[in-house]
Amino acid sequence: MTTHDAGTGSIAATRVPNEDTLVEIKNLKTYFPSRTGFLSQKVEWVKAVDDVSFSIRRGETFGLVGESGCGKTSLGRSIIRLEQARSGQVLFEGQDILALPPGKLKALRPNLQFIFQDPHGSLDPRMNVRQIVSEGLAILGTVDRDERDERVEHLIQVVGLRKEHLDRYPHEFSGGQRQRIGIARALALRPKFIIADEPVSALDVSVQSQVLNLLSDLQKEFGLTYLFIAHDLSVVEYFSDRVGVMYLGKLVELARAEDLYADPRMPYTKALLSAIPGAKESGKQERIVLRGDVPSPLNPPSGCPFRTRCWMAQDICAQVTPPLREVRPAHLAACHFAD
Amino acid sequence: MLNEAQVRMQMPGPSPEKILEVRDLRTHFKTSGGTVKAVDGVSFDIAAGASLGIVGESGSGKSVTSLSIMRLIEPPGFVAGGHILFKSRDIVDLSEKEIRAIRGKDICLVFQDPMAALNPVYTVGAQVVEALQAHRDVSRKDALDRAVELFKLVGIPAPERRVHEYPHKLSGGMRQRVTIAIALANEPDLLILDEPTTALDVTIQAQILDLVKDLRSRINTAVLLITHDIGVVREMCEEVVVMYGGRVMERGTAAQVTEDPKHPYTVGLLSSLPSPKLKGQRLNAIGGTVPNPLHMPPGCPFQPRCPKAMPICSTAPDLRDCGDGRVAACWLY
Repeated sequence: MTTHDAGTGSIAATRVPNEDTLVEIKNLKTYFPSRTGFLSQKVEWVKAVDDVSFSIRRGETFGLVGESGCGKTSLGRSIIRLEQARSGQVLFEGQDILALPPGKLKALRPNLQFIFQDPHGSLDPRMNVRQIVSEGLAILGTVDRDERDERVEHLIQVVGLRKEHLDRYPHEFSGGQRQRIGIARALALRPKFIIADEPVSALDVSVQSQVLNLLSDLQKEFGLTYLFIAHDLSVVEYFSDRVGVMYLGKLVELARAEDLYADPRMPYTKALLSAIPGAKESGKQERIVLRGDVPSPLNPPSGCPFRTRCWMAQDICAQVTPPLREVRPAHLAACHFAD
Repeated sequence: MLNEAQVRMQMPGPSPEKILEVRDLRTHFKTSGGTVKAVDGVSFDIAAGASLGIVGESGSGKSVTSLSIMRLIEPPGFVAGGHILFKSRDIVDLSEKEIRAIRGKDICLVFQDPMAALNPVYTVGAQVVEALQAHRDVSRKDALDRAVELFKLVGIPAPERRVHEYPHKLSGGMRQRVTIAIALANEPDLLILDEPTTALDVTIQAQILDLVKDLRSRINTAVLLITHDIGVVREMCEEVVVMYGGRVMERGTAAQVTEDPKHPYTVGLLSSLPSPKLKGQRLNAIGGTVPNPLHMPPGCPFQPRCPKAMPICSTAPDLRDCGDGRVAACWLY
């Protein structure tokens, strides 16, 4: 456990005392340069992740939702240093992942694994399943060949495939089976924390439920903690304990899944949830159709990022960026009018 | 297998208000591995001004059905059998010249990916003008005026300026509005929307679905909506056809099918959807995977994954009556 300074007070307030924090993200910023102008001399910054702070508890599933370009994938990638963050801290069991020297980072890596969206692009077509699943173990070099084989054979059955599949190549599998291979690869190093970036969005509905069942079985069996990134709001509601909503690089709302879906406080979240097809018919709420598109992240609005599309916007929204603050017990929202 | 007479007995015969009648359509593809029966005996019809949704997973044949209606099936694909009656004329038998007079005028198709559907080197206005001039004798200026009107109709802000812009300048939602404007340019009798919102974010999807609903209330166009998202169909369509493995599994009103599904495939599909009520519980996943189209199981295509499979299922069932005007291709009924 880490101690919290006054600056993250609102975040600490969401946590029940002594609740076991596995990952704590503090003021994380990831900016990408965009060169424009004559001879590309002018550099503008795309603020993909803009000062995001939250923590993930051991054993929970933290869902992260948002529309394309909101920064949810950049956030996930920054946490495990697949993307170089500009500033901020990611504390994993108290160690700052972003500040670790290469040697220590390598030692920590087995704890942090990633499941990718595209089951076709994320598996090397020239490696067979055995090589794919055991690659991490081979790089780590702590287990000998026999134990490696044993573990891989066990894992492939854990994810619902068979031993004879180990000598086949990715193209011989369906999308759902490939996603299972990606999951087996992530599990091989016995991680504590898995970031699953849209793990089921490339799959057909009837296969999607199989993979979701597998992920939740594995969570129980291995005590995994998930950061579950997805744009499908129904999947996130079903699968997550707590949910964060991102918009234009900022975390704009965070609450327990039940609270967030039953009583969203931030207008953007309200609009997002009301836009789920069928939501209006099931009597949840009136459809709120937003005007316009998401502003360019190169030139985000001043103050509240959502104010240009918000029906509640006042002058203050352009002047003051609303902080993420507790508006209900354990329910944070970044809106001046969330109370 | 159904013959023509049986199909006609099962369905209301051609009546004046039916705008499209698909009868036992078979669209196959010849590949080196064998013949893929992408659409294998599909029948449904749409009344003028009505809305029908086709729901299915990838490989169910829903898009091939829409391309067959547009006569856009290219070799190695071909229509192996069946009829597509559009206003009682069989599209399958039309000459290329005759179908060109219908395609883009009386029947229009909106694709999933608006960037791929638009030509990047022409302004969006020019593409509406092209659609108009292809079917009627209008001057360029009049056509451009009409383009501005259409852009207004589909809710594009500042249409006078937008017509002069290129597709890359527009957002995904705006591009899809442009393709809908092009589709509506000639006031079609039938608008086919093939996954029109799949490439869009959920708030933009809500805008486009609202637009289509609004347009339907203002212009009397029949809509055939093709999607994998059963929520979209429930919201948009009066009637729904569920497809799997190139066949119709069941048909009924959207409310009937989503609330009281008859076919075990639809039952499985709906109960596998994550819902807050199921939180903490396992989802009712359908076991197995969609069959390889080259090696379809004999009989009912869903039989290897079906919890209620019986020996008779190795013979393909016809669409059978299950009351309330509903049909399902299942031996249970």
